[in-house]
Amino acid sequence: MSATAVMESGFEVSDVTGQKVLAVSEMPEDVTVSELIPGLVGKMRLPLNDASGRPLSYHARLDREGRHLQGAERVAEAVRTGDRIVLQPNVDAGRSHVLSTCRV
Amino acid sequence: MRTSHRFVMEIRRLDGELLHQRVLVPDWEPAVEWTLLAGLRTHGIWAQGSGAEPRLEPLWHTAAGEPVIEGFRVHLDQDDVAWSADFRMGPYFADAARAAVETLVTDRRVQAADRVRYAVTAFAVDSDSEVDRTVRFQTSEQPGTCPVVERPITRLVSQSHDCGEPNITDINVVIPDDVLAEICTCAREAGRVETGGILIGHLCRDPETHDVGVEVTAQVPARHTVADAARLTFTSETWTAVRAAVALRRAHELMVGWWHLHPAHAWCEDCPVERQQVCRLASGFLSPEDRALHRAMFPRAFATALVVTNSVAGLQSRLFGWRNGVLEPRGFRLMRGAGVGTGRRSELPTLVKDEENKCQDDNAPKFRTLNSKGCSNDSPTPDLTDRH
Repeated sequence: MSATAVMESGFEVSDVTGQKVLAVSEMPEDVTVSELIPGLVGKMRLPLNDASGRPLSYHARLDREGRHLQGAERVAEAVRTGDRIVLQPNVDAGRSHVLSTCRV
Repeated sequence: MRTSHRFVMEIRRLDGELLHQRVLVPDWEPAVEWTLLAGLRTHGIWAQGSGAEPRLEPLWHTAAGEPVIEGFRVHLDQDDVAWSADFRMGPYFADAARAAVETLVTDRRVQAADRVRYAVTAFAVDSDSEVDRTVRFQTSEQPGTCPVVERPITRLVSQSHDCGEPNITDINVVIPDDVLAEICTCAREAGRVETGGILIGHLCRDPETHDVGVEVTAQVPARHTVADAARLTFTSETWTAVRAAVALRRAHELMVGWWHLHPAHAWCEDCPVERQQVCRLASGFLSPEDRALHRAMFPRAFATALVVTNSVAGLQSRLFGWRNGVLEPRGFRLMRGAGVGTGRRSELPTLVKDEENKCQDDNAPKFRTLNSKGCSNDSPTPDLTDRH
């Protein structure tokens, strides 16, 4: 079993409202953003799915650079100590279910 | 959440035949948030990030006894102060029961008109502390990330008046009329498509009375959305823009809720006017998608969702919020002449008048109509009743 290097220092992750903030640490250097996001969603007790059971699409926005991190990026290469990442979903409001009960 | 129990939902016909039995994976977060707010209201403690993990205890059914529950209790503690909040089984698990019954209807195991009963049972398990070994990093919750400001909320309440559907268990939410007027303007300008925005303000604790409440200070229109007549998608860019707007104001405001428009006049334009007037779609409601959005983005127990409906009756508003872990219609305090926001005053009378009209219409049988196009206002789901 091979050893994996770990990021020396941590960073913060918050939800959109900024009211839930986690400190992240001990991040192996080979963790990608696409692996990071579902882990954080669970840790922050955010829902994984929408009302129809489809997975919610969360983006990780790196405030320092004002951009969304790409799924294939390694977290250790993109994120610096003290950075803040914000988890921002694409999420629907609507009435598809109600509409379906309102049609012949 | 620590619990040493596993929860199971059973659905039975009235004659006792078992139709459904499945382990629940409940979303305890709204209950935890409600308990968190209870700590602030009763002890002045905001326990988030304290390291104390909430603990859940089943409340056994008085008549049926263990393992049937009639509710559950969430315990929290901090600094040697402990408190708890109780939650009733029926409302908290109703959505899960409806979803299960809809599946039974789809599978034709029950008819839409059938009546069924449901119950939730709890069974002790060794431990719920299963470690998620797929997560290869450590996290810890940061304390104090929900700033509560000292503000004379009691005075604000005394300077405002009741709107909507007040309930004594709710904290006060004060909304300035200018903010509502601004929302009204956005709603009118949106026409036939859905639109929305974010309510920002402060979670307040009165320094003298210790009352807790929310003061809405402004609304931020949602930009970069994808919208049509029946859907409104808040994109990642929407949240970026909202966060930037809040930061620019430099007032340390929180996102305390959201609002969105239901353009019912567009949805129901093919129906006769008299049917539109009593159609369920013309009343303020939260769709399953709306509820899911609120849970995802606004799980805090003090967060609210304002639905503005544009129907043949004009604009109507209805506020929803968390109560005992469940989203319910609620009241708010409308404060006149607050001088907040940039909404046009001329828009306001319509909104306020319609709000009053809505209250007067509450006794109308608007949820029991069927129009010529099959626009049923009755749920296709069989009635659900508590088992006991």
